[in-house]
Amino acid sequence: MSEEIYDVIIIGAGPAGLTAGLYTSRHNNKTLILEGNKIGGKTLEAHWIENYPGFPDGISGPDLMKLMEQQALKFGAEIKQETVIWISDLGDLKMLSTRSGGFYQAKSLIIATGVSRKSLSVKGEGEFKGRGVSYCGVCDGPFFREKTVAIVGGGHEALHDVGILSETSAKVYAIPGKKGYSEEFPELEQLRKDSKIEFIEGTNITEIGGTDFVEYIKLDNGNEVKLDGVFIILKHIATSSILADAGVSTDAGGCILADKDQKTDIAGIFAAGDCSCKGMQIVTATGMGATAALNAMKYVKQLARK
Amino acid sequence: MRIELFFSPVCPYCPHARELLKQYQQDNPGFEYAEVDTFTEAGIERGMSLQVMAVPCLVVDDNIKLSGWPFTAEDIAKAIQ
Repeated sequence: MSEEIYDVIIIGAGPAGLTAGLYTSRHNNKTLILEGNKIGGKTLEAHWIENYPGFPDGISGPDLMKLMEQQALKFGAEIKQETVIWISDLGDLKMLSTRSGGFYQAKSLIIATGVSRKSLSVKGEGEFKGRGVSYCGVCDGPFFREKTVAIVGGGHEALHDVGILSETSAKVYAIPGKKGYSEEFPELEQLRKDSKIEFIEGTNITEIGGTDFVEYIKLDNGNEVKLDGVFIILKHIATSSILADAGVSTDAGGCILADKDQKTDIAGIFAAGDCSCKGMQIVTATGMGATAALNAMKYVKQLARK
Repeated sequence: MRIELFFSPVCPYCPHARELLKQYQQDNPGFEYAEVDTFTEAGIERGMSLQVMAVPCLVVDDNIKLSGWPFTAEDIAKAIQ
């Protein structure tokens, strides 16, 4: 058990968490970043990013995140790859423990856990995982060259994968689900004109089937679609029960409720990035990370004056 | 025995799978091990010839054993046995 008390502990090392770590460590706040998965978060899956300022020719997700990691480390942030399993709020002190047995204390916390993948939960999904059912269009798309695939999901990432897969696949079915796309994304208009892409809207998938590999999907309107692969690109807010233990409020969808200063309803606990369901862009995540860091540092300073 | 690990540079589960395989190789020497990058033409062709459809993918003597989700050390030990 570490007796050390950090000024700020950041949970999550994606764009929001690494930006927060850069800000707090640069201002000499003792900072620890804990990441249960790969440093860089979901941005690592971005093959090429063209809308992050400062990179007019674009940059790959892994390269951008490596730079963010280096920048946070340069100013003294510590980064540990440990999964947080418990958080407790004792007022002026926050405590947390990790799956590997780590125990840490901090004056303030910034939650930047991002979003994780969600399953579709239909018949056949588990059976054909890795045999036509995939959860990463960029990772597994190359195996479906000249084949027919469906991209399931109504978020921006799903739509992005529709565009990516249409470059190499023979045909792409875009299936956002009954609720449709979460907003009128700018690329939708262009994709709707692409003859290789067919949008199947207002319906949900009820079954994924085949013999050894995926061969078809069934829809709740009774139709069956023959294809070779199903990419399930649905997101899940990675808040889980650990936030409830600390008393941090979320909405019905699991998004952490944070105000314009990224404050949650618990003093000293802040939230930034996709886990607060705002923006869902790298640039908005870094902005929220910076705002959370500035307000966490203000909070720590106020504690010292007590 | 020949073991191949198919990975992609953008796959979130692949780095961990590679680390686990390297550890397994250290603990259990005596087999041939190759990592196949599916972002290369040769890698994707090799993968498609074996009907690999998702990464990370563990292939033992041309047979797919694990594919497309996070591996554990136990999964690997069981798959290779």
